Amino acid sequence: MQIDGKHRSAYSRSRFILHDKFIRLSGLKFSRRFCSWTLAAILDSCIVLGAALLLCGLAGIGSNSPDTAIFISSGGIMLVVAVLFRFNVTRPVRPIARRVITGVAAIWVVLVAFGAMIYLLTGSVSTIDGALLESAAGFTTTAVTILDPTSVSRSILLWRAATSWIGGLMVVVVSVAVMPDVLRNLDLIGYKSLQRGRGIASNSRAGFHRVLLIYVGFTVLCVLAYLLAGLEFIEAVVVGLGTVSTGGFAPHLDSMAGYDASVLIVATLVMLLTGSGVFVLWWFIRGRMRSLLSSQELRTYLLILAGATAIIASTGEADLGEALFTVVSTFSTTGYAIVDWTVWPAESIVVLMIAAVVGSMLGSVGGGIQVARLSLLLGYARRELRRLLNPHAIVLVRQDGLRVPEQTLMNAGSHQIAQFALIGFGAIALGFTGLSLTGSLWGALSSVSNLGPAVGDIGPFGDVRDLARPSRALMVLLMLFGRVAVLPLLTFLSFVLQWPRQLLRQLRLVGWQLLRRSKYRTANGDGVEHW
Amino acid sequence: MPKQDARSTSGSGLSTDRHRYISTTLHIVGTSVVAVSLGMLACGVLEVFTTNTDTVALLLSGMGALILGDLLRRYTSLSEIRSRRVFAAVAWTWITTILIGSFPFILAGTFAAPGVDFLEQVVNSVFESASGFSCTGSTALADFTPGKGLGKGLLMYRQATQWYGGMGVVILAVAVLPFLGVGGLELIAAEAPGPSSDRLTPRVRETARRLWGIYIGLTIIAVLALFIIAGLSFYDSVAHALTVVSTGGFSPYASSIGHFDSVGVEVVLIVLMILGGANFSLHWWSLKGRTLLHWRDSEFRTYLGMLLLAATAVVGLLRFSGGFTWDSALRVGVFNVVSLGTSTGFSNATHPGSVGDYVTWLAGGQLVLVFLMLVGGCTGSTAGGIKIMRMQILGVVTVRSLHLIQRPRSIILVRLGRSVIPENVVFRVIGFCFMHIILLVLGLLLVTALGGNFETTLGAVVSALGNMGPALGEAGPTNSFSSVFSQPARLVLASLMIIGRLEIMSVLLMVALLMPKPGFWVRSRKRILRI
Repeated sequence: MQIDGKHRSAYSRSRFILHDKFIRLSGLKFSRRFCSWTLAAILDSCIVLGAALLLCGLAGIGSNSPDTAIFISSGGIMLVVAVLFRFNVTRPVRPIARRVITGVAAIWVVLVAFGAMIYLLTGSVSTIDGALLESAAGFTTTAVTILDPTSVSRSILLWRAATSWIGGLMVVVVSVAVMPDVLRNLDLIGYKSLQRGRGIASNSRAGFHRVLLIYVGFTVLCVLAYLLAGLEFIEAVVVGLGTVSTGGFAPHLDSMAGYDASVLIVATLVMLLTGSGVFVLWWFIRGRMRSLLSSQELRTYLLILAGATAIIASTGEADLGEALFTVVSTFSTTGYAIVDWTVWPAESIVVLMIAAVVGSMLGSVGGGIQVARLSLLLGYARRELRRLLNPHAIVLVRQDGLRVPEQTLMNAGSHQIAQFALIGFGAIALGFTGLSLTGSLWGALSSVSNLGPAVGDIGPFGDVRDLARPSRALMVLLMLFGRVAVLPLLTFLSFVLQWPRQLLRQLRLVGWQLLRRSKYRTANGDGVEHW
Repeated sequence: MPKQDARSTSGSGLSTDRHRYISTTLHIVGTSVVAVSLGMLACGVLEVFTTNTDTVALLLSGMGALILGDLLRRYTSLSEIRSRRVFAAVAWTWITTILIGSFPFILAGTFAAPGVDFLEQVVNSVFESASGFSCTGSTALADFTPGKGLGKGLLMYRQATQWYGGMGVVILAVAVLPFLGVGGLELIAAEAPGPSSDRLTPRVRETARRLWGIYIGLTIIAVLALFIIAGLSFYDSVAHALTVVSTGGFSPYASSIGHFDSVGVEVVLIVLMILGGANFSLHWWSLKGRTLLHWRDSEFRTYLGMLLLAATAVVGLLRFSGGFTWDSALRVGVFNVVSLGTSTGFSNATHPGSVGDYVTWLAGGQLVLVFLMLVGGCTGSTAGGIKIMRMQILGVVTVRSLHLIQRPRSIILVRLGRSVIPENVVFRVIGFCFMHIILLVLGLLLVTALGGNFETTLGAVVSALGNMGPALGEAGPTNSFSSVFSQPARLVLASLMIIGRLEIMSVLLMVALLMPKPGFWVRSRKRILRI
């Protein structure tokens, strides 16, 4: 039998109970196997989390810190429990798009909650909002931190870096491998149509393997490069994970300001490549020069990069190297800093703001609306103008020569407006929690783009220890909304609102079973066997 | 609306078409110049009987404009031209009127001060005129002490520019914008009860006349209300009535409404501003049906709801976090919210740094005001900004996207109240918002590059594009723009005001029509290749 929620028995009233194995409890049958994309994905990510915790704990052995034991025990427990439960859950062969979208949003919430628990257990962060902020910043690859990286244990340092690495992996896998495969009738924010012809994934499984290969391989190379550039092992791993995932976490309070030129060169290069996304890396690996040269998005990306660097360097406040590093770091939404760029002249600030909002290329770990969608937006504006000149003209919006469907334009358009509205309302709310005007605007913008550092209260090195508690809680929300994108997260929330109803339905099912049981018992004497 | 005449494509072809276009444009320009010249002359007469300092400037420019306009009207004729050229003609009219309208300021030496050269005076005069005719209300005047260049008649002329601007906006909303599909009356009437389906009446001229009737009627009511209820002098009543109905916001006093320091005046103005920011055709239908129909209009409900919500938030913030007393929080909070929510821009700050000076408020309150500046008032009114109805459509489209995630194949109409919004209008609304955002960012980049700080520039650009008036930071409600922004920056802001007033598209069309035809370059390139 095909294990799939769609192929269920006629008696089944529940969508995810498969009727091949049952547990009997006092005459009632309970399914032992669930078919749910969300549950499977959550358990999978818990396995990864458990393994990461275990590794961080093992790396902490010999550091004489009580955290080591906590990491190893909680990692072990999580791993064992998740693996055990995972045996009882299957993934549907052809999941339904809306369930996957909801599931992805659910994973983010679960990840952030688990991460926060670790910080609270180890006592490295004492308040719940602080722990949530640290965890959310990690998983959403935002470069703000509430920790003092110089005083926490080795395990915590590695864990903080690992969370952003896991978060980054999630983002790429979901946007490159899962979404295009799952979305059939629904081209949400251009996941499908904008990735046509890029040739990384013909299906979800192949896509997953390739993305994993690229991501892990690139991480190893990056760490090796940092080692060669002269960093110590643990530091190289922390910074390497932070760079590859655009997490931007560094084990110093002043981010990368204290590093040598060789390290900075490595960081700039890696951020540049990370920001250009897995597609470009894939083309490099396969030697597809034609794709590289003909990519409209790559051209725009490099053009914006060069323009922004030139404008900033021309103000005379920063030399070329500083300008390039800051632009690359902001544009890829990594968030490393080598100088206090928040004091640069206003036009540099505006340029960096544009870079942060636009974010990196499609299929990268970075946040923001991404370059491909920016050119979609510009194409949209251009089309409206053409239609004014020639009202009956049919003007196509193209991406790499391929037509972008109308539905995508509408979806992506309304999605981006929603994203801008999120920044606006986030800024107002942050303003109400007591931040300064520029600070709240930049704080919202930076959190939604998953950048981290911001002009004003947060500062160039992403230090949020002085922020009020409501501001921190708000930033958690903004980071999550920015990472998961507004519409999917709202879909998830509307599902959550339906849960009480679903629970009632399940209870009714059990009641119905009881009723049937008594009925059958009167009919043929033994009751339970026949249904 | 003039359609493309069949004859224009046959016969002598393009040159005739072009000739007609130029002739019609000049005729419209002439008409509006004559109208403005009458205002100049009237204010000149007022000047003779009051302060008598700028009589020569007003009468001279009035006579000059009258003769020029009359000549233009005499030697040109109105004819049917293609609709897109009408939009360009309107843009040209606006620009010419602004330039001619700046003459009284130049001749009277309004901006003359020790150490100010002639170029600076001209730039300031053009800025003031642009701010006036676009109903914006930002001022380049730093010193309001009466004397040469600031006679009562000239100040009244300054008020009258805004009133003329409002007249122009009405005709814009009736005759031009419906054809751009970006929110004139093509949406409103569907909401308004009555037999009409598209506009108030089929004939543009008739509609314009009715709305002008409403406009003039509102002005008279405003004069009476301010004179009788609020107890202002007749001069002040007229001066403020002219700018409150046009949602302009100029005042002949440096501290705007704060000059009177009276709750009565503020309450009367709040009511008038709300009326001025509402859809004029609602007023018309209410008058005609002798019942208040405003509440049946979903846009008006949203408009009031938004103002109420913003006022509550700001008053609460000022009371509980800002340390204001209840009555001062209520007074300054409600007045400023209404003033900026209707895109008027009056201020009730008695002096810089007083409680009514919103740049001294907490950031949250200021950001709420920025949001209101972006949104502006209702369609079909003289208010600027993106407009409530467009925001409503965006909201509905976002909710629809949420539904579409759940049910990808469902077909959901975008509804506003009882009316269905056609898909192409939805596309245009999204396109308009993109244009707005793109222009905002470009303006921000330009003005900061010309030497403004981030916060002040952000406020000024939002304010100029939304035809608001006061901005943030150093360009707050009690400041003059001339001391904050450099000369080119002021010109950029003035052009943003015009672009914002003409709903972006008209100006873009004007620019597009000035450009060589799309085939121009291609053909020449081919020719070169052949050689």
